[in-house]
Amino acid sequence: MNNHFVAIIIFVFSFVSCGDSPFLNTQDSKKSATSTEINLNGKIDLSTENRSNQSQLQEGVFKLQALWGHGPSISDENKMMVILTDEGGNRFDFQGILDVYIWMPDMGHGSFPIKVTRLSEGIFELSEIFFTMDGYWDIHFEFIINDEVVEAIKWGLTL
Amino acid sequence: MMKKIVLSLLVFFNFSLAIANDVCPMNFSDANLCAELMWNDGPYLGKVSGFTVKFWGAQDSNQINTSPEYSIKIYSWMVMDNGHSHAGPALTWNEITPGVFISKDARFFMGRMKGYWEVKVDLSQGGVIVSSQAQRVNFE
Repeated sequence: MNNHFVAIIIFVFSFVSCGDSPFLNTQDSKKSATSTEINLNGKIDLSTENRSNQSQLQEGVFKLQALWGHGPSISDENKMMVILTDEGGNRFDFQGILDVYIWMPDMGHGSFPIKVTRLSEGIFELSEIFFTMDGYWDIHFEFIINDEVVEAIKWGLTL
Repeated sequence: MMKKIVLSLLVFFNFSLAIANDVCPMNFSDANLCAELMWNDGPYLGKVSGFTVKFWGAQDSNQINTSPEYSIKIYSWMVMDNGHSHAGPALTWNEITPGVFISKDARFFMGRMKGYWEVKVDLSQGGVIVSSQAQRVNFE
């Protein structure tokens, strides 16, 4: 009887040890792609010079959340998702142009132009982000309305 | 008389060098191969560019395409005036026919850098670079 019990135990452990266990949380393996998350605060305060179109008023405080979809790494293409929310946690539907570029202050140069795609209200995909060397980089986020930068925030990272 | 001889030799030497470069623009001497890089699209700054690299045997005057029996790596390289050098955005390539490699996603930029770009081609065997050549990128 004991031998049968031991045999069953060995069988069960042998079976479940083959490959990924269905009981383990596999979220950790996916987290690494987006584990670097940045949160920044911005404020758009339009002066009278920028109020050319009432429907484009975007005043208010917002939070910028950026999540790496791929990267950050050197040389390879990196991608990032940017989500804008207001103080109530609702999507901040910025109607202007979001311009993003990276800059290496110690070397005094930038990189290839970053492609910014508006996916939905307050959600942008950034692609063609190329860090060409290791060191400290600044990621600049510029919010543009009527050709004027109404808010500019940045986040630094070291590769 | 002596001056004329020296001058003639100089002209002859430069002429021979020019011909040699035309015959074998990228001379992978240690691999006994020649190659030529031609731009299909561009080259551009701040926009995707495309090029083709063709290989042939170094002694082949007919320049029949020959697939290199080496691992190949093609990449962009920035040589900055301040003495620093670094690779550019990663690019991909495919051997569309034996000895003909095409890349459609080369990216170059200046970003206020001062210097110049090259396209470099490394031929490796067993993880060791056997021969390497670079071609400077001239933007219009």
